[in-house]
Amino acid sequence: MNPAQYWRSSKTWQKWLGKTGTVLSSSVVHVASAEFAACAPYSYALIDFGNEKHEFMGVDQEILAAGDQVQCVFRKMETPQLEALIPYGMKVQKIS
Amino acid sequence: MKISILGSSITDFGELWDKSLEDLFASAIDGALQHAHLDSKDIEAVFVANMAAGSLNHQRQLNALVAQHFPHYPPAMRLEAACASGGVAMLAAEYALLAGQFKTVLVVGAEKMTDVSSPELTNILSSAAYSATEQGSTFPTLYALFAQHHMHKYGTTRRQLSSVVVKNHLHALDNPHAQFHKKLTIEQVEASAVVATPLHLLDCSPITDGAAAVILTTNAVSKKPTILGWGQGQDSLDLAGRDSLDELRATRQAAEKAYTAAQLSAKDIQVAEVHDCFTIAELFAIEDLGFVPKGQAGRATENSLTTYGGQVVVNPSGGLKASGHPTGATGVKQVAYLAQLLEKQQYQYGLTHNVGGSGATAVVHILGGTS
Repeated sequence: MNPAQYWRSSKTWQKWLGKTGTVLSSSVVHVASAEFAACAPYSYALIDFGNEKHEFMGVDQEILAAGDQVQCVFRKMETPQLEALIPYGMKVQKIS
Repeated sequence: MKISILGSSITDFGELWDKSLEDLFASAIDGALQHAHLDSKDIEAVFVANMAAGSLNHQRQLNALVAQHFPHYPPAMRLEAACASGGVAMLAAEYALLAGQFKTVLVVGAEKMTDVSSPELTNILSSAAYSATEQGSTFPTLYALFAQHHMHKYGTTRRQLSSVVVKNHLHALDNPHAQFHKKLTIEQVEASAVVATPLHLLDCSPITDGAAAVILTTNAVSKKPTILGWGQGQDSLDLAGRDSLDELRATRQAAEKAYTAAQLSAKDIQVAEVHDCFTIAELFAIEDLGFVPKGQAGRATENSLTTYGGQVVVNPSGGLKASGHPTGATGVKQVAYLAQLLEKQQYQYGLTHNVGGSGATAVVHILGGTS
């Protein structure tokens, strides 16, 4: 990820971290774009946070389904590129 | 003011290693001019549809690239709305004609997609999503979310998704330019690799090189199909901003406008080219266009209501699924394909439906026959 884009996206972390919501729909992605290929298979879900909706990747290989309660957590997003920057960001994890 | 489709042309669709982006544009333009019995100097303006030549082919300023194909360098502009680029370019041409700026214009769409690697292409196509908020998504993934929702809410089955593939591959056998001339079975679809659950590889439209062109005129002509109505719908770029996953609102809005303009309703439409970039997209299309009630598209397809002898023939060309999906060309190809069927007087009313990305943009056209 481009360092400037990464810095801009980091400004949204505070808003999401720890928020809980409900999965509206989810898919397990087996074929990802190159930057996320190392994470596959991963879940990608549309989440209802009550007052707004947002899409997030699931953590690790956790499989999400409609109705699951999830929480926003801080995780590594993708395999580092040449800049040697390790991109972190928001993902969602099932609340057990 | 009546707009007639004076000529149209569709190139072969497929992995065309010997054809460059310019070759594709040239072939579609020359074909349409020949079909319309026009000289290239008769074209007063050109509208160019393309999604991603800047990334795919390192070529921008496509308006100039295409104008250069004409000896008089007519004014040209390029329109981009991801996979709805073709539909939007059609609209731009129609607005210019209605404004009285020109009498005869050409719309050409092309995409040269097979020169880049698959991961690179996946990345380029994913730029049609909202890159800031849909991180980690791919094109199939976004439609997979629609599919999961439809299956969960309406009981749509995996087999019903596969029945879209079987039908469209069967239809493509009649289209000499189609990328695939190969019958597929439900079992073959379900045995193909999973891309994003529940979508398999054979639920997805392919990567395609291809181009299509149509020539539109407001001059009085006889025995040519006409454009009876059109509509464009817009919705949130990201899925999170949509009201629900029940429908593509942009499609519904575009269809309502087009039906009103044409003074027709869904039941009048005998044939349609709809945007089946994924099997689930065709099911949404036939519901949102009003051909079948909400939630019943899977059953309707499985029960052969969307093929010959049914209620409406959906995707006689094979659709994006079997005819191929050169992104920028698709919206133009749909109009060209239907215009050719209407010119042969096979049908009286036809509809085209072109969608951008995961449904933020939709363009619907209704065409009328020659009689």
